[in-house]
Amino acid sequence: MYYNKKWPYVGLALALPLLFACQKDFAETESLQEKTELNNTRMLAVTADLPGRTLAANCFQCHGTNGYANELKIAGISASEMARKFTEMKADGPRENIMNLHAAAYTPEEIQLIGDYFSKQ
Amino acid sequence: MKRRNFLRNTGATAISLAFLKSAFAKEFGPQAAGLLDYDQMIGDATGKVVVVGGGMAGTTIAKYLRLWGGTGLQVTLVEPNATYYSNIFSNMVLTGERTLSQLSYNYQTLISKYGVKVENFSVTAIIPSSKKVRLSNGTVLYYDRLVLAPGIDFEALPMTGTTANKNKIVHAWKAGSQTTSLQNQINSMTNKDTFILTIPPKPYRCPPGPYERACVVADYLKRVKGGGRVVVLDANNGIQAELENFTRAFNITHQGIITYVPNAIISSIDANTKTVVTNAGTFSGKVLNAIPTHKAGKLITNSGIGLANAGNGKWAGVNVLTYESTAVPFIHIIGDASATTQPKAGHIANAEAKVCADAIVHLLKGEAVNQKPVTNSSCFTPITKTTASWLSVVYKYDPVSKTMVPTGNGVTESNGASSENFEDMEKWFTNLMSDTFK
Repeated sequence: MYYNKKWPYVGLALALPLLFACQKDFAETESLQEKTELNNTRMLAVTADLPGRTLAANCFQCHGTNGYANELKIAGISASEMARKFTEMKADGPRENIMNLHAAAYTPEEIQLIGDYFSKQ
Repeated sequence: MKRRNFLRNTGATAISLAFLKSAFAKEFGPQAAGLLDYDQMIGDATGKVVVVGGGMAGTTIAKYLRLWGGTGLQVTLVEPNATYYSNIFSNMVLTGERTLSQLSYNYQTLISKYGVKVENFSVTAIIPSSKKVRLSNGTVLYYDRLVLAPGIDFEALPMTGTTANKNKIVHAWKAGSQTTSLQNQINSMTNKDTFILTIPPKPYRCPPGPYERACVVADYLKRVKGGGRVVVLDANNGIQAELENFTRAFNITHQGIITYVPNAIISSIDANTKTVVTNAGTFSGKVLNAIPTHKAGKLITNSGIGLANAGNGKWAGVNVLTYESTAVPFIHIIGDASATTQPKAGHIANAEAKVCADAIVHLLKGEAVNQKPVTNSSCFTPITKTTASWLSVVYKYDPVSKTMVPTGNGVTESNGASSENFEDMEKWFTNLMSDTFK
């Protein structure tokens, strides 16, 4: 093979603006629009409509969009680890830490969906 | 444009997508290639959404409509101001711990990262029959869904006095020039002076906010001026949020500085003498910070299309599954301007915006909307320069009452104020503003 491991990224960078160029024109400035579309694909690739998305969105305010805060990052945590943390937090007094209060509000099924969502980020 | 037309005609899209997917699958496995599924990646929601108002609610929904709806969803944000000043943390501008410029945000990331089009004008007319809005520069924008997030407006205070003196009686309840004015007035106080804060009847923006302001001003007077007085004239019959924490703060932490007066309904204000007449007595001070009675932004109350159909004609009634107006179809109202069981505040405005964004994406796809929306309200409040408390609640939709109801432990306040909470507060603020503006 004459290409290296990075080649799909190059393909992505080249092909995606072309893909979106076929969408109906929207922004006035073409160069900005192309830059935007490239950025958008990066975001959209990780924000697929998983069933837990609207529940997980309640975490984004403090833990960052899709869990990617600089501090308090939760993106990539496994569903089992998330469930374990929720169990711990539920066991503590709701007034002692704001997360204990939030943990207590979700059912085991909801916690599974939230865990699935962040594990796929 | 030429290249775009060429591609459209040759179907190069399909070829490049197939090529890309197979290459991606080879490199990262079939699951990774699934991320490149055309529909999933760009979404198949198509349509035009116009969002009016670039505060916490409007900015969040503009971002999330693009994030969740994809590039087929055209989103225009109409906001006359280029800069947004955060109301959250603005009480700390009054005491010099933050500057307004540290609390300033703009819409550049919405444009460059999310592809939102921003119009720096105001809306002069909403025409539901042809689903369009007219802007102050004459531009007409057509919509499939219109989202209004105008925030709050104020009733006039029953105030007399010279124009110059009236201008000194500020609310500083929308961060900006009034915040600076109030900061300067507080800075000019001595330890012999009194700061009077009047709290309007509920509902008002940020239930703990006025009590927080009383605390941080009292803390400032004590620390910087060596004393002073804060008189809180509350039109309500008691403290509206964090009853235990603010009672302790008023009676113990800021003992001797803060005087709390409930049921103080204002009958008149003399701006010349900074005197407030209420049914709980007459009060004068060096600085008068009067927060007037609230109503929804003018876009709702002056719309002429019946949007202000709740709360004695002051607020917009909405279906909390979609935030669609109960008066006019295809128009959604989020944030402080809507009448719901949820508080009026920035954090929950962000949460309402996400529920509305998800609903609009489904509606534009012709799909059913989520029947189990969840939102949360969280607010950290500084009590001194180094300590903070918090108030929080998770809401879930109740199909019987068709309202959002508190769940779990219900509306809950922290067990006192602490420096740990103060550190959490700074992370909360940074991340909330990033989730909204970045």
